[in-house]
Amino acid sequence: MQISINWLSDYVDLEGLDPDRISTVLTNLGLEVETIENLEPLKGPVVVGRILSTSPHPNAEKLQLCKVDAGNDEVLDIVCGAPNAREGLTVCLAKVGSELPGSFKIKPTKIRGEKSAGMLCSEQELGLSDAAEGIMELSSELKPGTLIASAFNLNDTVLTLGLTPNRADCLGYTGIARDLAAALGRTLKLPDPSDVKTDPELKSADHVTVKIGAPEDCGRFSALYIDQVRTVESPLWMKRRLEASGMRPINLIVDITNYAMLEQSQPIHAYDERDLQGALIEVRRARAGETLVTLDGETREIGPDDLVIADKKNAVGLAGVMGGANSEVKADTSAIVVEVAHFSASLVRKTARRTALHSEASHRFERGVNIHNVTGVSFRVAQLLQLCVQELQAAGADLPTPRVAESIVDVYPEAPSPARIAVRLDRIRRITGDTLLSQQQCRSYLEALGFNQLDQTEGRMLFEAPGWRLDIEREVDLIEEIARLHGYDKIPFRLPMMEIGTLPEDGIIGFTDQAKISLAGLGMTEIISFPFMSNEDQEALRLDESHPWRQAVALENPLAADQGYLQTTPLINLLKAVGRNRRHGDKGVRLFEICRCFYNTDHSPVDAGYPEWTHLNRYGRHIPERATTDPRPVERTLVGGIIDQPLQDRSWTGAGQPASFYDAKALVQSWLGGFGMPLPDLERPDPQRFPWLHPGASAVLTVSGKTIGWLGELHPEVALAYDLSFDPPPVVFELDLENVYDECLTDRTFENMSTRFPPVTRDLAFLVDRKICHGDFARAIAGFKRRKHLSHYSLFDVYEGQNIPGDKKSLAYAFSFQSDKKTLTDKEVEKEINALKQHLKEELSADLR
Amino acid sequence: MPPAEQDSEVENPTMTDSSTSLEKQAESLIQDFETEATALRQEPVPARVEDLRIAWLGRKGRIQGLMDGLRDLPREERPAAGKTINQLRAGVEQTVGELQDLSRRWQLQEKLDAAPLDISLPVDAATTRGSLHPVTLMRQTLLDEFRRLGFTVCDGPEVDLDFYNFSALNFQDDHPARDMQDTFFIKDRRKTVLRTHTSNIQIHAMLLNKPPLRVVAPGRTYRCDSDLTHTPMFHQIEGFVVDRNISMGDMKGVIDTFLKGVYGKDLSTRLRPSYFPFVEPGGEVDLQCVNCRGKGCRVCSDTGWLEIGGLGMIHPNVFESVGYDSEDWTGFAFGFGIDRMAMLKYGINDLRSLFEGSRQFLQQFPATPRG
Repeated sequence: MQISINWLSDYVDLEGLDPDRISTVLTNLGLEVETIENLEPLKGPVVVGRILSTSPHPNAEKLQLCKVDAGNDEVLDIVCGAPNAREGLTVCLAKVGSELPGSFKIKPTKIRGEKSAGMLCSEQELGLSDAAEGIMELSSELKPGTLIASAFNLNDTVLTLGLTPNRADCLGYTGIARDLAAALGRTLKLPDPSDVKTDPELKSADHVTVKIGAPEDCGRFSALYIDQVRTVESPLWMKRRLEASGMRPINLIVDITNYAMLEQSQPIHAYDERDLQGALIEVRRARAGETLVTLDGETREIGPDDLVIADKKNAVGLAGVMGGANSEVKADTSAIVVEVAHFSASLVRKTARRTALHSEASHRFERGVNIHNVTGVSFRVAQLLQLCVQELQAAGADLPTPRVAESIVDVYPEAPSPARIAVRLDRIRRITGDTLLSQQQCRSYLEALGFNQLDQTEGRMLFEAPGWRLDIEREVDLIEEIARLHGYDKIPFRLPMMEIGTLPEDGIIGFTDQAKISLAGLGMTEIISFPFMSNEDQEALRLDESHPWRQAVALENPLAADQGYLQTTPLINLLKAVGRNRRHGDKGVRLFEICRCFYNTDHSPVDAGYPEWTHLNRYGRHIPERATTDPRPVERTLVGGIIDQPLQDRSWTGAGQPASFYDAKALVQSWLGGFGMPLPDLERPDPQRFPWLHPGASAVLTVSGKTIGWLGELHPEVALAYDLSFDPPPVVFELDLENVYDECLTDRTFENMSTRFPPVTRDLAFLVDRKICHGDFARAIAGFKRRKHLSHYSLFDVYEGQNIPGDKKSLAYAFSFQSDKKTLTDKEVEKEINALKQHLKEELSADLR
Repeated sequence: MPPAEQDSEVENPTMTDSSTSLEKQAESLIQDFETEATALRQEPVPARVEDLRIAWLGRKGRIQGLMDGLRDLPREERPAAGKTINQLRAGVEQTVGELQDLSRRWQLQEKLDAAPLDISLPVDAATTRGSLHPVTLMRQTLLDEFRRLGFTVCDGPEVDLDFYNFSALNFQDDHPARDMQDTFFIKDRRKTVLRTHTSNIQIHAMLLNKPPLRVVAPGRTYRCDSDLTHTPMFHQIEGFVVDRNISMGDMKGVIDTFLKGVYGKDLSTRLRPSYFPFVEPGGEVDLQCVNCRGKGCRVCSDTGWLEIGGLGMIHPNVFESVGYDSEDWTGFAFGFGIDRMAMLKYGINDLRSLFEGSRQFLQQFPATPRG
């Protein structure tokens, strides 16, 4: 809401307060001032002048030479081309040194040989209106020399308020003024429309009948008949104020309805009497298939969910949202029906949202208007109309005086009773923490805001909430009013006294931080991205139609087409981030992200492996109990990582080195090892289920048969789809952090290892069938029953090629033997090695090379 | 590193058959030895010191040769000659020992005297160094601070039911308060939204636990909004305290203590009224500008203050929606934007840069010492 301080000062005396101070007071009341803007349209000596005499310009037929009284005994020679420049006219004079809107600077000049010490201005030149014909004619009551800016109150300050939706009353100047007056301890000056002159001959009911067909949607509807109106231009001050408040002046009638709305926070609509067929206004639900052309010229399809104002034949307005084009005030309108009504806030909101018509009216109705003030606002419109017409008549306009019907049609089925709320002093003190607040203080704060005290006992007061405060429902609302006026800054600082002992924390929260720190320690850079993906991403990952990730959680209202789904893997954002880094010339980045991924629950299997979990545990984590009625997707916290190529760029220390499957494996192994967890079992992935991985250079990680992640080289086609190099492609991995955490919680036993006696090491190379892999050796050694002193072993060579048969390969291991009791003798070691050789021969047909 | 003792190649010295000649021999041997030892003292190369030792003290060394010559002496001369040889051996052993020490020192010195490296040669730390995201670092700082104040960290779903995100938090259906938060809705799912704030954890935590409670909940939140200062996903930290006598004064104290802990003790906080449906009285908290320490600058638009977050006393309607007696229990809640707090702390001026995943940008932010 944009407010003019000039206008605001009609309702509360702002003497001695500069705009900054006013803004501070408003902000401290919860009416936050976001911007302060000074309006100063005329700079320098733009003053009231009076033409003393005119004479023809010797060299130009259309120009006149004017002697103009500029006040303070100064008479200036001005050349003027306006046909209405005449002796005795009070005019607006821009003297030398002044500046008009559009940075138009006034300098001494000669026009066709005659000097001119300034300019007589039209309204257009002053930026006051579009009227460019002739110079502006001012009231003869104005004294020459007076600054135009002060004569017309043109200088103003506009405050933009960021109003919260609870303060519907502050969508009008009087509401803001009320808070301000209460905070400043000054008097609130509200307009009193009771002095409006009505015509006893004229009765609204003779001209319009109001029928409320939907009383639950429309609590009150009033119609006031006014005739002898003209759609002339509004007085300057009104136009200025409307503009300062962000509204465009249109004509006197429309402007007054807007002005009164801004003043009272009550939307108003004026109908041309001629357009109300059958002199009837009916408030009803729209019929199915009905259409209405709204004031903005759009044809709206409306139906039974919308409330309309209708005459005998058609809808003439969308209730509380926008009037119809068929009944708007026209140039020749001479009699109007002024509608002031109260509509259901939620109904107006639904219609406004459905039609995407967010109007000044709907904004106010959605937030709630004061049902008790309806007729008051109607007569305020009439009063403003009479006031403006009088003023225009005084300035010489030929206008009839509007006739206001003495009686108003006011259909008000049931006046709601105002909220009555009790407030206790001890509660006020307990909530605020300010134990010094007195009952008298609290009472005076509330009364200043228009609350009416009905009853009072020691420590307890009963108040009636004013009709404009629809946000006041409970005791605590009154406490807020008291705290607001008292000032939040007056409340003393304390620290809570609480029991020792805290709620237990879900360990995964701290574990997530540990996980991030250790990944960073392993050379990975953490990124954070928006967890969205698109159909194109699903394509790019080569997911076929039956892949579970195709059933991703979709957004109803995505911001962009490529953000239509919630991600099922951190991989997509990692690939995109690598792409962005590469475009900035940064190759070889290593990134990770720990984030939630989302899976629909009604399509099984959900995963790449992650089970269907949906209920929440005591910490709010999804736990393994399926609730088919729960529409929430399963959320899993995943760790995703990517190592871009190359692993090491060429450098003076040596040639570049590409990243491979084994780098991902090493990284995952180091990371898990840091938490005491061994590398899970590695299996070749099913290419249908993991189509984004290189089928020959990737692995699925499983623990007790449960998939907890995967790692390997990206499928070259996927790399290509994300504009990344595919020879070699980036290396990627993903792990379910929650599963990792659960695994890490398993109790582990630790060996008491002695290192007092030195190990004995023997190297052995075995010749085996090409199909045999290291994993087979590992399994065979794990099953070596005669193992006694073998403490560890490591693979130091893998060889295929020359000097060995084509169907064989050689694997060379270093075996270490150690005892915690003594230094082993050669004989003891030989004995165990022979047993081992025999075992490997039996298990793997491994021959010593 | 001394090599294993090996048999020497050195030949046995020629022996005469008289003890005097043995003594003479010993004398000349000493001179020979001294000559060799003196030469080695100048440059005690370890291998040569070892050669010397083997030549003199080895199993086939010259001393042993003398000992072997004892057999050829008359029995009565043997003790004296043996004594002479033993004296000789002791002298040689001592000198060899000294030479060994010298040679170790010489070796160390040689290591130190090696040509210095070109220490300006580059090493590429960037490719091997990892880093944490500034939002993670900020989050850790905030959690450390709150854990110190006795808060428990809680978490919950990012996609949640309207009940947890809105209605239990006193957002009525079809109320304009809902427009304060542009909401992402889940397609084909009734009343399911991407949480618009971390306040849904208030409801989860209160339903799952009994008061008194001190909880903070950091996390990702979502709003359907994207421009220079808004991203569709952003981070909030929610916190709340519920007990029998929690007041606005406690709220002011906790928030002030916490913000001072994060940004410095010299900065003040202030509160002003505002509106969020789930608190009453509600407010917003301003912190003196982190950049200019309250003097007024570009960051704070010359006001000296920064808007940090929303807070207020938990609305009795919220307590009632989770089955707490709102007469017995009072409490306060607050919510801050972690992204903004991180931006203030690190002087980042473009919100979007947080989410673009640029390594060069992200590696700038140092891990904060915890404590």
